[in-house]
Amino acid sequence: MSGRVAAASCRAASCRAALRGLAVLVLLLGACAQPAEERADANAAAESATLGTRLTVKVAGGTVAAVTEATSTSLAKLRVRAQSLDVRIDLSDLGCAPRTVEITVTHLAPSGLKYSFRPLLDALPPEVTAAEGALGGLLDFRADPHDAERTPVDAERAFETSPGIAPDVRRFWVTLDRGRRQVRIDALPPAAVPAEVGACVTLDADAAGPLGQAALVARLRLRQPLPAAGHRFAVFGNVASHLGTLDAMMASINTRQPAFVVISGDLTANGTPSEMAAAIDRLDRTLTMPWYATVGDRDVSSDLQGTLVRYLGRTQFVLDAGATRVLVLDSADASLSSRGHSQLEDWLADAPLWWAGDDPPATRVVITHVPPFDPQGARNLGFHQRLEAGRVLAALHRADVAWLITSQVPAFSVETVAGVPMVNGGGGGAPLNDSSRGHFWVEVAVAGDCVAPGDVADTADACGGCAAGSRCVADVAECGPCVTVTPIYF
Amino acid sequence: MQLRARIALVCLGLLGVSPAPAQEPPPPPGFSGDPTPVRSEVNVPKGKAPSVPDTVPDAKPRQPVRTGRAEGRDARRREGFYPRPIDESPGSLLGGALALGPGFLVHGLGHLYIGETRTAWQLFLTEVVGVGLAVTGLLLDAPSQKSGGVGGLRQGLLHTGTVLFLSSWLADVLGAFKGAAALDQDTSRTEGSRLGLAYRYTDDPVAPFRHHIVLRLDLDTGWFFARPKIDLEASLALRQMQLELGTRVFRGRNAQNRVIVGARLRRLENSSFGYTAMGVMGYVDAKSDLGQVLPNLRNFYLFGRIGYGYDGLSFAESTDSVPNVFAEAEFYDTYLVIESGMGFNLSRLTHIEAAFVQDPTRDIRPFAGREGGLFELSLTYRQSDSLDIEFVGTAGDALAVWLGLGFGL
Repeated sequence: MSGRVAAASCRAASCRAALRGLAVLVLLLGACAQPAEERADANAAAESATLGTRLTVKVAGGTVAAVTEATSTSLAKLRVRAQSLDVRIDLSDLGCAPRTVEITVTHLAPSGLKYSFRPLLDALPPEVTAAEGALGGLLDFRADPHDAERTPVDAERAFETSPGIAPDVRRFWVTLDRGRRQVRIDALPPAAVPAEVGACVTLDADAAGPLGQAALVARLRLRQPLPAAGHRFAVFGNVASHLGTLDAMMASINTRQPAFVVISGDLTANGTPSEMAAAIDRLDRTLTMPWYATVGDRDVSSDLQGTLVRYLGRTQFVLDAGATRVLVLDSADASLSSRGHSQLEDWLADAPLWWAGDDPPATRVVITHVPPFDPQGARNLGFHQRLEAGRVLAALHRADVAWLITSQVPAFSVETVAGVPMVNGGGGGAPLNDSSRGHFWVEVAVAGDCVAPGDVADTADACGGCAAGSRCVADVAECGPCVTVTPIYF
Repeated sequence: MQLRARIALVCLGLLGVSPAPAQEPPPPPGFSGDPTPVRSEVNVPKGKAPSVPDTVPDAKPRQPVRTGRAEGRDARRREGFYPRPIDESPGSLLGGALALGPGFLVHGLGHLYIGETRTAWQLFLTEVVGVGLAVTGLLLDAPSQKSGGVGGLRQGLLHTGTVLFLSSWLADVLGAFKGAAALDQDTSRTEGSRLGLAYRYTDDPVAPFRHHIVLRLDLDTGWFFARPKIDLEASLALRQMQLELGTRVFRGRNAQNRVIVGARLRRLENSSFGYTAMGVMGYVDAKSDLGQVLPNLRNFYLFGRIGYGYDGLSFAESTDSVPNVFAEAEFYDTYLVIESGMGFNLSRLTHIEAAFVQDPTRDIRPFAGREGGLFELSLTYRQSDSLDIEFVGTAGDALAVWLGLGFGL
């Protein structure tokens, strides 16, 4: 599609540049600031970082929150803010001396986590490449099912961590020794490892071949498995710096113990750094489960917006939680960024979240602050441009999204928009349209017996077989939704 | 010599400087003696004898002896330049600068400086009304802390307030710079049919559409009009068709003042994203010459449009296709369109307009922020009786340029 469009567009870069220049010049407006694009760039930049010379890190399911490069007297340090139940970290080392990185991960579940790592070389053996080429790709000789372009050095192994300064924080030390092709993870700071004599000469020589010259990769994974019987998670938004209401809501959430919390935007009233810091401090101190947040229109109304990633992590992200893929979109500017649209379309198309191999979840829940279309269109609380709103709604409609949960409208209501059930759920603190029932948060319950897209329908069950994305409710012998949504008033 | 004198007079006039009275013969009764050339507010076609404007009670010199200077003055008048009437102010560079700078806060400062006290007060009053409307719009949201259901009313008040504020400021700047001289009258076509052909370039980071061809027809009878338009993106992935039908309920063919009640029927086919939108919008459109209220600003126009639309959306099973025309809509949407702006003639044949447009159905993404909206600058040059040359630049979070030709039929 995009190729066809691109083919029809003006191919001459100079032609396009001239037209763009003409528009800008004549309108005397200069380059327009596009905050959504700026945040998308910041989100992308927070996926990876450089920890030192020829030492890099890439993170999925979380955000690179802070980096301290190694010096002659101190280790490299990395802080990752978790934004999913499955944080994946790739450390890639092209140096020759052993190096240690101190890694701290925040916003993890307080208990029940599983930690594993696997050393890999960032290349394939020449014989594998040659055999594949000779057979025209008919046979796959590659060893790692999750990463076809890398060679595993060892099996996946568990590791231990030390507790951090808070229950949701973990810390550990990763030592990469490319000369010896070894990765070691310690729960305490390790003693320095001497470099292998002549490692640099050997590794950089032509005779070392592609594998010898390849980067050593330490692939780490921090997972929180969810119960097979299903789970619940909480969604709220529109707090608007009403911290008293936030406290009451968090107490209610802690009582019901969902697996995690998603904040759908508008934590703050005016998006100032002090408001954001105060809200985050309360959330960190009070919630007893991990929380992840995107932004709303109030949060981007000040200079803070360029630094939001530092406060909240990436403002658009995705996580797979049991049978559900949860897509959290940054719609704070009543639009998505261009990268945001691409991500949405990829995630809805069941693209793997970095490492391939896992089956995509059966259902999808989309959480965002601003709905594509305001149920009362002329009120203008949806996307500003209908062309873009139509694009988003068409994608959700075709992907058969189970729920679209928003928080721009301060009321609880459920409407069906082009076949997509949409929740208006802005009950987190700002004055409500109808205050008779009080503020609320939204509990999303995900069933454990949901039929996945690849499953064969079980015709022997009480329902006679349910379609993918639904489940059999034995009590009434009917297929029901995998995901249900309930407002919890407090 | 005559040419040099005329250039000097024009330059002095632009600078708001009056030459020494001794250099010009005594003025006739009713004239200030300031020879600042003032274009007649009546457009005189080239080559035709000029008519005497209403503002000049007696344009004939009383000097019985024809001097070279008098002949020069006669020549100027034959070409449509007349001395400024004694009761009207000259323009002033300093007055304009005052209006541009401090006058942004206190509208009317420029006119106060050039001696147009009444106009200055009117501009200040307009500013106060504009600020009042905008503040009222903002205050409407206060009880709900910007979450309430007053979007349409709030948007209307904010929009109107902002446009009034900007208009009174620009009117002050323009009026103070140029003085009492009238601008050229807008003579845009309001009757006869016209065929338009345009190329449109859009650059929106979230949409893959760049190059468009637009074909339109204006069938105009003065009181009624029909305007079909087709806008095709180069790869045909985005196709927009619309038909505007309307009637001028006030002043018919008058290009300077109008009230239009109309309807816009449209269908959008977007195969890139696999959906269509089809619907209707009813609207009221008005344009008025500000000179009717502020004599210094004759032929400075304000215009606006407010519309309410209803669209049905249908979705295809996949991208690269769209539902057919008879497909049932799966979702209905309503929207509000508010656009307003100001315009004037840069020269006798060139009309310029600047507008703030809040139309969510445009294919150009508006500015981010709570209000959204687009800035639009349009320039129309009447190259001949049968040909218009058009340029429109639009800016929001995306940019668009329209280069078009209009052929009189």
